[in-house]
Amino acid sequence: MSGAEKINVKVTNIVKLNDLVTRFEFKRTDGGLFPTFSGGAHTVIELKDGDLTRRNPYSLMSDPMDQDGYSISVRRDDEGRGGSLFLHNNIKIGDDVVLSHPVNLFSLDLRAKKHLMIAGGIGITPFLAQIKQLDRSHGNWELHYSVRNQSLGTYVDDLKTMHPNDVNIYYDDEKNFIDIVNLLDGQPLGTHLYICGPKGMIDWVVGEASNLGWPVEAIHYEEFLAPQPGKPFQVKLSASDKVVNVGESESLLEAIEREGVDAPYLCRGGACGQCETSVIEADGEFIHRDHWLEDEDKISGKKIMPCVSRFDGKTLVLDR
Amino acid sequence: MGLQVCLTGTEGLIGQALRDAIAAGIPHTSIQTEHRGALGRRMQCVHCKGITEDVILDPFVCSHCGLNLFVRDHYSRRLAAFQGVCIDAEDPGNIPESVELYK
Repeated sequence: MSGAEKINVKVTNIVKLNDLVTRFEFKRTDGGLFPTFSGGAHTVIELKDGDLTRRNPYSLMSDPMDQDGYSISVRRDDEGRGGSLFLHNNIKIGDDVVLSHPVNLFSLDLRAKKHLMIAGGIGITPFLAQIKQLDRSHGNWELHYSVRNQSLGTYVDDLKTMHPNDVNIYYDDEKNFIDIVNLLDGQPLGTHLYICGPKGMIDWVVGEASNLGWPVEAIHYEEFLAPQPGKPFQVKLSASDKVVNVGESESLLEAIEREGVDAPYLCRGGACGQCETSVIEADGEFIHRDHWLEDEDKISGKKIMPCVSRFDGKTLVLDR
Repeated sequence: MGLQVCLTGTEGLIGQALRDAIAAGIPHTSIQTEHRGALGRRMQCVHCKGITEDVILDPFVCSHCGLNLFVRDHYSRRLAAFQGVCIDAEDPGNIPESVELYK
């Protein structure tokens, strides 16, 4: 099977944190221990929704050294494809679900002298695990966390209570914004920058850091893309000799999996590169949405990342 | 952050400055280097760990323990030195004639 190794788990607790965000806690059904992980890792949760298998990646936000349980905090997206809504509305304590082993595409660079973390909204989740990891090793870190308002400040109270000197909160509705240029400008040599939040925030912070001459090695960010709905299209899988119709609200990868073809994947969010697939023939326009392929690969029309990218045209033949 | 470093000098000097700059938190891609001056290697004897500077003969005699050392191309960024390994350990005294490097 593709993807990271799987773990059967039971939902042991569901905690509503605010209007949008709920925490789900899991224990292994076999009673064993989970693997430890490194802060920033995510898990892919597999949910049976009728005939549909939903697979969504979420950052693990529990303590990386806690092998008794894993937790994720999920923001409800009313406009998405329904994965987070399904979790919020249908998953109950005691349900059996499947998690993947942790995969980290947003790890700390432990050579850093200081870790400067910038979070926006639900982008706080990987930092919660990283902070627990750094606290254990007495790491030097500082968090700047921007939220919409007090009531949507997920984990703000916990963070302020446990780390009053290292946590800075910014409330949008109070016109309270991160002064990013001054913040970046004053950082000591050896600082590494980490950003997790909406795309606009990542682009803004990475842009300002680059303007100030920050080396790319010291800038880390994570943006999970959710596959976007789009016009249905047809794809021929050459190696498996199948023709697959990709529906409006499913991704190309999901359609391939639905037809029983074991396609590689890890992050399902356009970041890790695992699902990269060669195009044999194409007559139409690619809708590339990933962060993985180089611009020239995207223009060449020879490669596609089926987890988030789509196609609009007459013929698409993939080497899968 | 955003500091760029430019190093120029002998290989041994560049290597040591590079090592210290990286330890201070500057990624090696933010450090430019330009070789100037003599070509001798900075060697570490793997047996006694002593450093011999400006080595231009291979093999050479370790300036600390006196062993005859073969000049390897194995370089350590952490030590800012090439590796020198005893050339006559199995057959003491059987030492090939030294050749001048970079002739």
